[in-house]
Amino acid sequence: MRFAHNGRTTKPMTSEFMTSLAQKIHVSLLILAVLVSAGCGGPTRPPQDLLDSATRSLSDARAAGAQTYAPLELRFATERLDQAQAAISREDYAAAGRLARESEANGELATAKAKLGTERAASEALDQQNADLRRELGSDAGQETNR
Amino acid sequence: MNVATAVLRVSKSLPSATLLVLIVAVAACQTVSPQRDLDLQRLDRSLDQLSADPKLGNLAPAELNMARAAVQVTKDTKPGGDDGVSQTYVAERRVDTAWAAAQAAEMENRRADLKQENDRLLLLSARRDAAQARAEVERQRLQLQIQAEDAARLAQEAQDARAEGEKSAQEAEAARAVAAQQKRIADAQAKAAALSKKEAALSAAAAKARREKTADKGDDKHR
Repeated sequence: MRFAHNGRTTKPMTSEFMTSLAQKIHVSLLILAVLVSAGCGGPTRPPQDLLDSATRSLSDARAAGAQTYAPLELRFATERLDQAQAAISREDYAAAGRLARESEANGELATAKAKLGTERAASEALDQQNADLRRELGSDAGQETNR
Repeated sequence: MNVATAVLRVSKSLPSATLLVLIVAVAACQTVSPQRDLDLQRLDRSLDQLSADPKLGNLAPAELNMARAAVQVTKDTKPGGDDGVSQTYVAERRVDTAWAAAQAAEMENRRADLKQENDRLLLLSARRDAAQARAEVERQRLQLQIQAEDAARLAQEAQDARAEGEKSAQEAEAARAVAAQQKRIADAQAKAAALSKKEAALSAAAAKARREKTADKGDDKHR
């Protein structure tokens, strides 16, 4: 235990120290509470922009033919959007935001894969048609058309 | 390093108990995640590989930038917890999207090339079909011409045959007329011969009669 030795008093510093310690603890707890609330506190309203983006992304994926060429990604996007809506229903807006972002990412991946599948199918069809034409034309196929 | 500095600064004014509470709280939030580091390294490598790809590297710049941004956000996100896991998930999808978009763009270019080749081959095919059609028309025209010439030749032959037939008939008629004339001549000649013969017989009879008459007159005289 510490004592004050300023020469004017011989009163122990225990009460003074305790008062200072309690104040410091209170301040610390206050700071901690502020930090925790700032760091862990979630949004207080539904992430409507994220939900709208996810919905658009899902619609684009369907329009691009994801049902055929990227069914797994389309299913993930759909499921996560549904889960985001469910999270909003229970007012868990942080989870709703995360799930909406994941849904949007899956939707855009499905769109890209659908476009790739569509282009690949069209290319393969053209490739086959060209092979048939070359076979029909025989040696004429190699001739120039700029006549 | 910022955390350590802050801890040292706060530790001068706070008692050890409070400091301990803060350290535990901060440590709880700063969870180390080796798996996330591995994931981030893998995503970085994948994006570097896509950027360096000679065929795909420049085909999907927007998606590539979005993927890099998502990876960076993941790096900046506190490891662990729902946000970290979710952000890693999103970054994975963004990287896959960048690859798929680049491959789709490459396939689109390939399809354009194939379409150009297809147009060229279709043009050749159309030209060949037109040439074949023209050759067929020419063949049919020649066939018709041959048929027309054959028909004309046959008609001429028929006409000649008809003319020949008429001539033969005329000749036969003439022959018949000649034969009839010859017959009439022969009949006349036969009649003339008969008449001559009859005349000769009559002459002979007359001569005989004259001789007999003359002989009778002589007998009478003698008597």
